Amino acid sequence: MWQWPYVPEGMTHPRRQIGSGRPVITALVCISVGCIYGFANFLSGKYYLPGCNFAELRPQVVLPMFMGILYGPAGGFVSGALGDMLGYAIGGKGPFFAVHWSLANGLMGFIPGLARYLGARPVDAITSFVKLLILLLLASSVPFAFSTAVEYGLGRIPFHQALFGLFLPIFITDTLWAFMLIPPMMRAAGLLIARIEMRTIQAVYYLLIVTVMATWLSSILITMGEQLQVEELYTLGVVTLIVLIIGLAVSAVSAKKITAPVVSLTTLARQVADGDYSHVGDLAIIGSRPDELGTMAAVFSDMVQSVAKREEELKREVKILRVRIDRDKQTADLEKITESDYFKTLKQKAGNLRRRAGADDS
Amino acid sequence: MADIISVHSFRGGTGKSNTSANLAALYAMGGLRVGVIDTDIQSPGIHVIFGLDEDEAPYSLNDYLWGRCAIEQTACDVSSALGGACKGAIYLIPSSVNAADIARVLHDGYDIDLLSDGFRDLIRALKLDILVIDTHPGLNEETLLSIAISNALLVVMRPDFQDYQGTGLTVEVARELDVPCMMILINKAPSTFDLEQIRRTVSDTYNCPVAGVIPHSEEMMGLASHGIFAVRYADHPIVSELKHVAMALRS
Repeated sequence: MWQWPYVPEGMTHPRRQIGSGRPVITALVCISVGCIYGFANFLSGKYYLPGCNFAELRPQVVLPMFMGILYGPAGGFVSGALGDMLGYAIGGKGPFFAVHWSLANGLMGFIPGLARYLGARPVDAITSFVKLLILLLLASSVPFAFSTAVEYGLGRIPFHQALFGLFLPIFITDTLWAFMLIPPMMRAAGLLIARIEMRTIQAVYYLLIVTVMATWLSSILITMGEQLQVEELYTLGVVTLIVLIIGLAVSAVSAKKITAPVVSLTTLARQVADGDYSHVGDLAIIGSRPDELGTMAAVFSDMVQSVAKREEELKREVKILRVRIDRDKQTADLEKITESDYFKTLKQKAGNLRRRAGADDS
Repeated sequence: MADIISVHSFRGGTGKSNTSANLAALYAMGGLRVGVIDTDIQSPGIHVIFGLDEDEAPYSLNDYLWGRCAIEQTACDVSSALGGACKGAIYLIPSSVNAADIARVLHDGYDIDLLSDGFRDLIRALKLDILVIDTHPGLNEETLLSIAISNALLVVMRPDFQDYQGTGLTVEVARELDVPCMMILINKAPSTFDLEQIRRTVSDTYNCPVAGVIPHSEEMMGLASHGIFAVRYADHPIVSELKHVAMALRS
């Protein structure tokens, strides 16, 4: 059966079961990924970001986030919190070294886990993609704003250090990692479906994010060479992030503008296929576009209208029965039969035959 | 006095045999003794509707026409095909489906007067109230005889250009033969038509009363001649239309 939207069956069917499978397996996967996350935290624990003695360059933050997307908030929370505690444990500090940071890591997995409830999973259009990016932005900011505030509230660090030595380094770096790595991971898991909207925005998106990431990493290196102040680095980071978000927003809007007519044309084509011609008028707006899509919409609209007209005429034609008989031919055919000797005899005998066959049953 | 009703259509595929079988069944369900004779010797088929296996019938109409047996020996009691609904009786006189028999009829022909004698003898021997003749399409000699001998003729047609000319010819021929009661049955009318408009147009065109208009029915197609529609779907609107036809042909 042909379905709309068309998705090759082999692509989505086995994948759709991710996160809806057996709970034991789900728990095992989340815990295992949590362990990988913890071990990676232990390894990256020696490489602090400039001006930091706690925040690190951690691409592995995408692991709890991805667990959240796959298995929901609980799965994300377990792998995030467990991994963080394990990192401390392997480092010899004990699992409860920094409970509020473990909690923040859990929340970082928890927030993307809301994707399925907020229409950000699967990602199949710009709207759901934007929702996903917002969730990733929240996952990289809210939990660490909380844990940084705890540090500051307990009087362990001054405000300046809290902002430039903890929150901003973590927020900027984790956001960029998440923006760069989560979409391809979802694509691999079949949760990012390349419909026309996604195809249009993808190229711009990856170009932007890779450029920004490269700039960011080189800025970090420059700062490490002590040619840039730590404050300058993180201010630069925030500005870069804002520019990135504006760039994405602009490309999302322009992609929407290109694809919206294609999407509504597709919807309309489906309606026409189902015999519903009533929405063809909606094409007028697209048809007034000066580009190729406008021409396509205008041609399609003309085509549908002439098909509808032809169909209507055909219906009217069929509904009224007209019987046409060639009377001359009929007379000629009739003569051929009635002129035969057999028929003449039969006509003479007919009445008698009827009487004999029917009445003569005494 | 017995009624002889011929069911005819100029072209094949109009549902003539099905109509014959259903009319016969309706008469038998009303308590009459009914004979159904398949004179479509060249392409017999009505036995299928009554569920009669070719091997069950010891003699066919062909055997009678070649003098191998008496007409009443060819009659098969198919009342059981109606289940418990049969209050009278139905006898079927099948034509042979044997290819050699069919070829022989086509090649040698037979004494056409034997057929009229056969109708008479059959009515007498089986004490029939009604004899329904399922005719061969077209207007060959045995069909003309069947029409001439009948008290009533039902001309079956579809609302289809292929059927208009032939139906007109049949009606005119029957008129020449002074058939006392002649009616048209419009069968397999598509649902897009206005049935009443069809009825009026056809009766005006042929100057002949229309006994009924039967819409195209998925249920009837689904039955595919395996069984009698009037028995299987006793409450179907088509069956009540057929009951009107059955009554009209006897009045």
